[in-house]
Amino acid sequence: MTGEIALRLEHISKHFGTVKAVDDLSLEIRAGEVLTLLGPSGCGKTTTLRVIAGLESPDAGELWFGDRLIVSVGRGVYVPTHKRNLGMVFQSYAIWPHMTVFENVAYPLSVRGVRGDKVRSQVMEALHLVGLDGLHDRQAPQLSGGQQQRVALARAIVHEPSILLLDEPFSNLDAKLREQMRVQLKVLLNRLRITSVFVTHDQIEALSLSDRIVVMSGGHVEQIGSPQQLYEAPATPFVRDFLGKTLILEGLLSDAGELLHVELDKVPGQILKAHRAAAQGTIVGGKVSVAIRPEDIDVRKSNGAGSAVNCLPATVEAALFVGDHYECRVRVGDEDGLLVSTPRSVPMKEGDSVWLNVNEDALMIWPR
Amino acid sequence: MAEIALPYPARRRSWLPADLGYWIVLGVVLLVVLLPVTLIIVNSFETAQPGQPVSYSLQGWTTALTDSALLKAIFNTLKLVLARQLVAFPVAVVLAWILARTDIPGSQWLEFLFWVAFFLPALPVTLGWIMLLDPQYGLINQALKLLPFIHASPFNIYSFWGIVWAHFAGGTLAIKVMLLTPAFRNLDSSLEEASNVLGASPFRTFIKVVVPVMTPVLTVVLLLSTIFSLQSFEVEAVLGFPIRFFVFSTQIYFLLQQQPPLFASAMALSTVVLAAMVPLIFVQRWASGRRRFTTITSHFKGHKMRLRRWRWPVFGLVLGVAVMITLVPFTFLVLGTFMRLFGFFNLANPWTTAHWTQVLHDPLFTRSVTNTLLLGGGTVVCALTLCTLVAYIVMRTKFAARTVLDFASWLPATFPGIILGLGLLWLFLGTPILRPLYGTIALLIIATVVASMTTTVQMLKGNFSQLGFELEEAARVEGGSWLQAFRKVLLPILMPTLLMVGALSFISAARNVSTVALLATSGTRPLSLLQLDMMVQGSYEGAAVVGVIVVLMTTGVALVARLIGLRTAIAH
Repeated sequence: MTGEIALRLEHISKHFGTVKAVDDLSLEIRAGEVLTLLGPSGCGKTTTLRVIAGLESPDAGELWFGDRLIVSVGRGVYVPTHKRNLGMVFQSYAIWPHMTVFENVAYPLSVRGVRGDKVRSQVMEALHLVGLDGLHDRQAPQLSGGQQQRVALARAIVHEPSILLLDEPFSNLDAKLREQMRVQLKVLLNRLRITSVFVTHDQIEALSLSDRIVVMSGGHVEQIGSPQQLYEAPATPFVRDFLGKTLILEGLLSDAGELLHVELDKVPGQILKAHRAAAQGTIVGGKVSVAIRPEDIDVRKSNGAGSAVNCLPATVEAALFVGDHYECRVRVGDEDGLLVSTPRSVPMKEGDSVWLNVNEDALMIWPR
Repeated sequence: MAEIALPYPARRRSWLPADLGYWIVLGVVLLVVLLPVTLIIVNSFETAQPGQPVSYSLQGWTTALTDSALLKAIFNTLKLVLARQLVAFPVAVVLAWILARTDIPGSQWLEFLFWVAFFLPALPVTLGWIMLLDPQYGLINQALKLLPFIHASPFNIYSFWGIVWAHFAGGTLAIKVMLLTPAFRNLDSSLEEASNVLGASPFRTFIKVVVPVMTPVLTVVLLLSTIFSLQSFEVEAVLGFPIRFFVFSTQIYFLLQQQPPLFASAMALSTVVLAAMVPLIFVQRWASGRRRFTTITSHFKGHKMRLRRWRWPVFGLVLGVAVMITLVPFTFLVLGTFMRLFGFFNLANPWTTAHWTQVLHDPLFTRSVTNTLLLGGGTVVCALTLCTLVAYIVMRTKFAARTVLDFASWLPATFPGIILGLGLLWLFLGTPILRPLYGTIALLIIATVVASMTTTVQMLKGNFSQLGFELEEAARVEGGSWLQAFRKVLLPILMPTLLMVGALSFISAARNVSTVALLATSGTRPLSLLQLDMMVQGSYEGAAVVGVIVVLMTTGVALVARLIGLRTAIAH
């Protein structure tokens, strides 16, 4: 990845009435990178994408494509949508129903004045890339949802746009198709190396497809980083809770030399030990929350077998067999309703006593 | 226990009379809708006058198909319809798109102005345009003649293009904008945005994506407004008579004004027109029935295109059009009522209130007001009763012949008013038991009820379809007869709609000219015909006074209904 900046947002704001959809947002996207805007609905991710596309005009700020100024509210610059050389996949695919697949995909070329055999070869190439060979004569309404999605993708890349925008492209597909398309899109994006901005509310899509993720909330950026960084070192409770699942246990922090100790409020006498690095912005003697990813918890039926530093006794309140594993609701002391998963190989039932083993480096400690 | 196992033991019996009631409604609808038209076709072969011994011949047909005047009338009709649609349709498509798909300021208000334009009666509007575009005294002509390089009047309202213009400004455009704007509003905006993002300019997007995607809807609207445009009578009567320009409706009227009336020729001409409309009707039904492009998607988004620096210029343009077809003609109509001589601003003392005094003291005027109120009121009561029953039977029952009823209620929209009037005239003159009704307002009421039946039934059907069956069923499960359920549950819920529909039937009755023209006698002439008579006689000042009163009456009713409707809606 080179350091060249393909897209830059500087202090972009956009209001709808009194609602601040995007609030003083600044962002840089590197050439060839897949950047994901992730967040719950209403966080401003779609508005940000639409500002980049030119489908919304910002109230303040500047937008740059490389060193080309696209929008500057202060300087009165505004390049209209159709002159930005973009490709975009819409949530509804927006396949034009009066055109065939070929005509749909050829459209970006024909509006750019490309004619003749060149159109045909480029369209066929794009259809081949998305795995739709031989369907070019179909009318758009005859296509299935997955096929329409591929047509939309082919249409968005056929003219080699400088930036590819993807607005929740998988949200209208069923779960199985969504998984397939995710892998295919990853392969395609790796091959094309187009600078891409991807909007989704689905953390799995964001984690699996992105080079970097921007977690948004309330119109501003919560955290920017690689998927691993965000998952392993969330900067805010919002990011921690939005990405992946967490178990939260509350307690009092005390200093015990090499490791930090947390006395749990609802599990009298139990202490969790953690690395100093896990506690950001906390003070000794203060109230804290301990966050643990469920996959970092080793659930065992017998005590002592684990080599983990922390070991909590627990009771199974409910065990749901979901095929490849058990989903268990367990109680630790007075703390109930904790969800953990256990392997299929260890049958679980209601009332079983279990031990939760957690290593000291799997704990995140947050001020409360 | 056995008794409990039998549900509704007594209800079964009450099913029979209800069904009988359905057949009666069907019978009434068929009588007033189909019989007049059948009579026209049958009697085009009859050469005798009503009441005379029956004799059949092809004479009427021979006349209709050889008489150059009649052929000319048919040709003129086609030419006029074509010109009207060609001029109005592209303009309407662009206007509807702007209103529905862009961020033009005040789009709701602008759309409302087009509604107003549609409800303005055609005759008063035409009168307003006469004052502006008359070849001698038309204000626009006089203003243009002040320019050094223009010597003759550039415009003449009494011409083919004058008639086209009067129609364009008086409903042809408005109805299309009215029908197309909601359709454009339902278009999935991402179809447009995709084209725009992928490199097409807004104009190119409009031509290559919006118009083709909307083609099915556009076809339906085009056919519908073509059928509507065949209904027109009064504009052609006022602007065409002076230059001997006849369309089929004015020609039929003209044939029946002869002494003796040329019934057979009129009937034959009507039959030719009806025959020509049959394919149009079926194409329209077929086009609105198929749904090739679904433009509304579940994830529909209504993002509007930003006009940016074009926002206010475009607003000015659309507002200009809307004002031109509403305020402009009405203003000059009102001015005309206060002029000593209609349109002559350069008299020494052009202003007077004499026409108002004269008209308001005319016993003929007083009688016409009474007639119009009777006609409007009677139409509201009869249309609401009959059409609510029809809509209910079609939407809510399993009545065997409900599709026949549905189709029959749909047909009147396709009958040109003058032909419907002719058929009813023949029905009531030719049937001894019905003859006493001739010369009463009841005959006119029947005519206007039939004329407004399609719209009324369609609006009520739309409402019935939105109400869940459960509401009604709940009322019946709780105990109570069908009538109680209808009165206590359905009727209150439908009240706002009934008010709107009632107001619409009043308006269409009060402004109706073409259907009642042949049916009214000297004692039953309503205001709309009084105005037509005055205009044909050249008494434009008096006609303008009557026109203003008709406009105030119709828009007043519309506003009151809207206010009451709003209040009822809020109270609910």
